[in-house]
Amino acid sequence: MATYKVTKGTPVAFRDSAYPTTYPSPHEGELFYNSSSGAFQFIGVGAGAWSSGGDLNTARRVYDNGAGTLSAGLIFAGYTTTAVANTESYNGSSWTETGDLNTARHVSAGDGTATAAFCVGGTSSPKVNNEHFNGASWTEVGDLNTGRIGLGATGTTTASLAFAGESPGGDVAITELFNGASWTEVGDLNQAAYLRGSAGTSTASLVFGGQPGPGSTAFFALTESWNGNSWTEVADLNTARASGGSSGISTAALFFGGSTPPNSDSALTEDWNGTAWTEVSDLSTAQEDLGGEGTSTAAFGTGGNPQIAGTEEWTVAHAVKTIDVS
Amino acid sequence: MDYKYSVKENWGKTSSDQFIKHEDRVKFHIEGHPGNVWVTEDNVHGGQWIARHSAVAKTKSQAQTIVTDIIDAAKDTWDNDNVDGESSAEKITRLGPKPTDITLP
Repeated sequence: MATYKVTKGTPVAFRDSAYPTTYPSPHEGELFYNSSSGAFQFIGVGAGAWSSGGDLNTARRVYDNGAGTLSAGLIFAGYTTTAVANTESYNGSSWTETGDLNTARHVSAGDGTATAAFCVGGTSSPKVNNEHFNGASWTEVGDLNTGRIGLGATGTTTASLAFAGESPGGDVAITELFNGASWTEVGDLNQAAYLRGSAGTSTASLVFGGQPGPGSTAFFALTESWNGNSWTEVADLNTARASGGSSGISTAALFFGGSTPPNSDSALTEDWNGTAWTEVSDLSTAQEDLGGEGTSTAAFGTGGNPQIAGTEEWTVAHAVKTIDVS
Repeated sequence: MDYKYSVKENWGKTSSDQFIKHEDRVKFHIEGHPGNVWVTEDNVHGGQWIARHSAVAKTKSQAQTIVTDIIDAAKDTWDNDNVDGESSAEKITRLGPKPTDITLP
């Protein structure tokens, strides 16, 4: 025979509409009663998604030439029908042209902030050039020891790390550290490759994906972590690919888009939590050679091949969900 | 999953609106393709997005033709964009890989 017990609870509160649902909300999991609809609602877990951002003024392939954040970003260099020196800054809504690089280039790399960024390497022939941006203009500073294209770069203008890429002799595993004046070779990567994604600082970086030279379809899923002295292999990407956009730090990164075998554009986005990669929501448009910056919870991806002007913005938000008891 | 097909130029973002919003991405599947072709999940939210943008509805076949024509033109452009003395690898570095076919879902 069934028995029934009465449970007595506290009336569920009304939700203050001003409660933040931007990630991370302290109200995640809280239950509310909506007197307008007569429904119970709650603030769900944070979920990331890509939405539309403002268009670049100069549509182009960007690759890893970005710096800053979603609300204060910077994109430089790239390829239209030729390598360009254009630099554009982003305010979270629209792009504005600012001072050009001294040397136009493509498949170079950079990092930093929107007011203190660096750009190294690139085509046409593998360049050693290193330039610093001060928020208005670029200045030539100390050259790399090994010129290369399709390299990765992390850090700041006073502590920069440049690694991987392709030199005339083939793919390189070389890592160089810039101290504000000159570059010094430090510990090599385990895997030489180019067009790899990267995130982090000069003392704690992550490099992922890539491919062994132009035209190859042998894409890498490999991830390596830099501790300031050496690179260590860590967990692989779920999907091997190259030439995607990336953002974040060594313990919380995002890798989005890119090229997958046999050179198809990808919309995949993967999130790194310091231990493993997890597939999350796709870009709305599959893209390779896009540039990106920001964090793993607020980032932008822009540009792409061929001559793309569009930008997508990655944000994490909590959805207010209704409990259906019908 | 069933899909709807439409064409609308992506106008990006203004100070007050976005072509694709975060909440759109949470509610329905949407993917963009060459030719401003948009493939949206065939549900009420996808339908509302098409109506909100006054996107021009296409059949799957019509949408596929738009995408294929653009990819074919991009392949021709890639094939004809050559520099004297440039190796195959150098061409791929300069232009990226040759465009590949896209099959709409």
